[in-house]
Amino acid sequence: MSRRPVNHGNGGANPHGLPYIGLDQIWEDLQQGIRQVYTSQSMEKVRYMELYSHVYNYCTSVYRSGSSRQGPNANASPSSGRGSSNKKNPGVTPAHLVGMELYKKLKQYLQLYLTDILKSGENLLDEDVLLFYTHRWKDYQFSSRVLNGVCAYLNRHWVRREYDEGRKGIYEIYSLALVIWRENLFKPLHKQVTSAVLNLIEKERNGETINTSLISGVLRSYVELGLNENSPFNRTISLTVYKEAFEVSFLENTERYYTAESQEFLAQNPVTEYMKKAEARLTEEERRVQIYLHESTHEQLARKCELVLIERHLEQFHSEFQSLLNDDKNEDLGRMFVLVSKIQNGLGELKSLLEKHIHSRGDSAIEQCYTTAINDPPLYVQTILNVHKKYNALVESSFDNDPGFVAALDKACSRFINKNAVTVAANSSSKSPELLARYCDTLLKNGKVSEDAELEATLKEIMTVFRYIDDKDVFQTFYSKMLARRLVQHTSASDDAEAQMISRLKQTCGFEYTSKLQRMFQDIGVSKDLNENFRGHLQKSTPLDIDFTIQVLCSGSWPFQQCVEFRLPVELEKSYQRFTDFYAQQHTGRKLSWLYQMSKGEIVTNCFKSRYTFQASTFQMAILLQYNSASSYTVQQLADSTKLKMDILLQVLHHLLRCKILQCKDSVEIVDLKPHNEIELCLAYKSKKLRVNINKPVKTELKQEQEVTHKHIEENRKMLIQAAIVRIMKMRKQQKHQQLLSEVLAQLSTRFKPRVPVIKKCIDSLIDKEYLERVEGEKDTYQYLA
Amino acid sequence: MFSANFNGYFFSKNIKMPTIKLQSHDNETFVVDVEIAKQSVIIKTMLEDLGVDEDDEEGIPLPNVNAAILRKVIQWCTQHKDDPPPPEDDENKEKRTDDIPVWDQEFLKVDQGTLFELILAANYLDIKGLLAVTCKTVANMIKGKSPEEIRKTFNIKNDFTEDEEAQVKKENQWCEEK
Amino acid sequence: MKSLFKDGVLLELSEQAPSPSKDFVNMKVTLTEFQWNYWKINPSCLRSDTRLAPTEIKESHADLLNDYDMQTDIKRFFGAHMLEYVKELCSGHFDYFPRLKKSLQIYIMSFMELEDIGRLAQTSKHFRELCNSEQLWEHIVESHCDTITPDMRLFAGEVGWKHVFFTNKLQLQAQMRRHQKRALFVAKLSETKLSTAQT
Repeated sequence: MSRRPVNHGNGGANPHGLPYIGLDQIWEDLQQGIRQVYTSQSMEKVRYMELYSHVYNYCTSVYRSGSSRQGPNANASPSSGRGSSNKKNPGVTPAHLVGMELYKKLKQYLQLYLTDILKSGENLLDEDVLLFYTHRWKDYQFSSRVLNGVCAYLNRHWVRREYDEGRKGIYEIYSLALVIWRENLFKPLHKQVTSAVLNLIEKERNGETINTSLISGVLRSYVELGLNENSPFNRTISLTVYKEAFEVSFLENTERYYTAESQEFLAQNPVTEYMKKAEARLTEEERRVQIYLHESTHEQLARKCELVLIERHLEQFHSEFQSLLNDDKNEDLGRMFVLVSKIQNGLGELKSLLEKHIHSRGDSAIEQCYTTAINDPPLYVQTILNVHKKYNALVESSFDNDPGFVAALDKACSRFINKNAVTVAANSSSKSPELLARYCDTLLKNGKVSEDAELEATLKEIMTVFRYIDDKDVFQTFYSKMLARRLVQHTSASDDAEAQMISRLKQTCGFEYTSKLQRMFQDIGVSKDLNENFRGHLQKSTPLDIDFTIQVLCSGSWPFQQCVEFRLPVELEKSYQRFTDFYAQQHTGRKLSWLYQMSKGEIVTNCFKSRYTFQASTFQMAILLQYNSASSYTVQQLADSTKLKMDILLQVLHHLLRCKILQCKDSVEIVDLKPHNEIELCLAYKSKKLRVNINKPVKTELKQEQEVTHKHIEENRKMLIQAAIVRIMKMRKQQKHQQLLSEVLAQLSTRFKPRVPVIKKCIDSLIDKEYLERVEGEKDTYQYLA
Repeated sequence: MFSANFNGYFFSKNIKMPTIKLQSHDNETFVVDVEIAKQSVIIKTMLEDLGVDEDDEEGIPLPNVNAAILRKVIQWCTQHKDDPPPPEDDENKEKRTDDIPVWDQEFLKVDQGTLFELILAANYLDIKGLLAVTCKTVANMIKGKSPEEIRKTFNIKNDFTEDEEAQVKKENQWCEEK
Repeated sequence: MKSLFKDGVLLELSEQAPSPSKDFVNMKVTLTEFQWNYWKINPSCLRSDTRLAPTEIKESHADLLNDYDMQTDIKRFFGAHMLEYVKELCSGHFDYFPRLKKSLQIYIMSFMELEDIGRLAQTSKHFRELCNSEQLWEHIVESHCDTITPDMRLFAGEVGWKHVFFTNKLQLQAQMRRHQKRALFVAKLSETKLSTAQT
């Protein structure tokens, strides 16, 4: 390439060498350079700098103030001073016109260039037009960038100035090039190009392999053509061209294509297959955006596909959902969940279907075994757990633990756990907590729980069921009774397991819920120390002739009845007295009352063939010890000496008779025993073991106890409701009936579900006690009385 | 041992800065690190548009800059090669002239001809930092001077008639009433 | 060498002698020499066949500085200021700054204090114009305001940026906080403007 003189010096037509460089002086060379860029797609750096210098010199020369008037023959004005500096209005500088001149020339050049290019492309179609468009665009883009660089000085000064002065339609040279492309190439050609792009996309959807770079090339060009005309220096792009020339038709096409496809496919295939297809299509479209669409299309395209592929077929999905649940098709369920979750509010129906399904499965599982389960806590709890476990796993694996689905599971479980065939048969909703408490008892008593991990898992399961129980107070009552018995009778398998269980309950229901349980634990510990001290005390004075262990239980914490009437046998009287004295010394002001029915002892026999040791209840001991003084008593005599009520005495006797320790002289059936019948020792008693446990709880006592338990629960509930009402009213001062009800229900929900009539009764009784009053003139409004 | 040397060879080759040849109006060639030369926006743009080619034998002609000035420009660019890039749009912030670095102050202790040539070169090559610092220096030369002193400093020809001069003085009276 | 004087011509001027003389002179200063062409104009010149041959004097810069006759002639034709200017040129003291491109001059002025701009305005017609130009004041307003609303631009289009600068109250307050001294001048300038408007 030849070097052109850049420094014109005295070049040009001006004989005086004035520092003015006319456009014609540089344009020829500049144009040649531009043509070279646009045709050969290359430029040497030397040339680049030359062209830049042309533009620089051209732009700077006219600003200079050093020019003077033009020689002697010009119209000489008598005023002195140098050249242009005395012009009156420099606002209209030649600079403006000169920049404009170059700008116009460039514009013209580009227009002509593109008009020419268009000729070779306007009749092309499909891939040919795409190849044409993308190649030309790439070249044009490169060349225009170079041109922009070469014209940097024009951009930096003249264009900037024009823009600052608010002139419209003046762009940075690169943007100018884009605008010209838009007008002269894009406009006449874009319909062909866009439809070729859409055809190509459809081909790809049909499974053909296509040259995606053709599409991405076109679309990148569309995006770039959306330059913001109002701020040529702010390169933020508006996507109008892309959206209007492509995206609108693309989305229409997409809808048409998938509407047809989904209808056709569903007509010939099951929904499960369709879901796989839809899933694949959605992924495919997502990938389409990544590979050759503009990212802004993602959202709309996804919505469109979801509408056509999923939302329009929701009804079919719903009916399929039920049969998938019936057949445990977890994978398909998961797929459906993923698809439907893309639709706004689409999951609602699935959730309620799931809830209904779990509920009915739970119901029927219990229905099948309720006759046994009503007396078989492990079976009952296991049946519940099996249902829960199954559907919990489903929610976790197929429904991604979606909160709505977890809630559906919870609702369903809570419904069938609190009301089912067992509770209906027992005619009490409290049967569930009772059975659960009994299940705990069997677990914690039997010592079956050996492994820590196993224990942990079992407790966790219990808590799972426990959370669904409405009447948590019923559970609490039964649990504490059974715990008490385990503690007193030393039948608890492990202190550790007990403590773990209590701490879990505490986690779920709070400190108050378990405070009594913990007190029971403490009492047992304190009693141990007390026995030590008492034994020490005895050794210092006269030792007792029998072994004596006591447990002092705090009356408020333990669910035991006060003692029935009973006279302690004389043999035990002494120990009793000693301890009572000892305890009174240590703790003044405390009253001990003895729980005879809980107590037990060992009795050694000398009357039988072998020397047996009986583990016996206090009542049994009292009766047997009578026979130290005589060999036969009437039932009435025994009643008189032990002071036991007849029904209790009879029960104790029944058992002793059945064990064949005692026998009746009269030949009557054991159950028909009357006060005048005579009872004597059965000297022929035999047992394989020398130690025999004959202890048996009194049965009537059990029944009575249960009644009392339920009464106790009712009373306790009333207390809790009243306390809640007072708490709420103290805070609110005034409250409407309905709001008060709902607040009470909310506050007590962790314990039990209060029934509305009970709450009303409580309100009435609080009004009687003058905690509350009705507000006069206002219906159903209460006021708190301080 | 051998392999260690081998690695060393490649290492030293890799870290070698690419360079570019710049040629002044009076045909003197300067070899400059590309990173330094890129402080000129026009050179940077050109390299971005056309790519950096190490084997370019031909120097890039800068017909509007002579060797003496180009040497100074390169000197300045070398000194400032690690400067953070100037903010995109600093037009709208308050201009100050008391923030010229000491090195630049020393560097610009030159005759007026050189100073103004540097301004022109900075403008031509689009080196914003150099343009700013040179123009600030000129602004400082005017600071606090009377109109007559300013004329003397820059050889500005007084082309006012006496009446005009009185008028313009009145117009700008406010700057004398401290 | 000097790109501000690429063509080598520092100055070229023509002038008629003060009335009644109609003599004509052309003065040219290049980087290397001083040139003086002188046409003696009398009635005979009006005859079309007469070819005017000017008297031409060429001398070096140094010679001119010692040529007091020539200096007297320069003063007679072009005035004392021009003589000073030419003498400075011939001593190598070129007027770089006035010859700079306008946009660069404005850029330099954007770094200047307001009072310095006021003094620069008094040096020559060119600078007086420049110091009152919209371009400069737009610059000054932009550099003192955080944002320029489209409304402000519209207003400036009508009354001029300089006016906007001196009337914007908020700007005035902001400036007073920053440069209390400068704000004082502003207030005073508004007063003088007011008084000139009345006269």
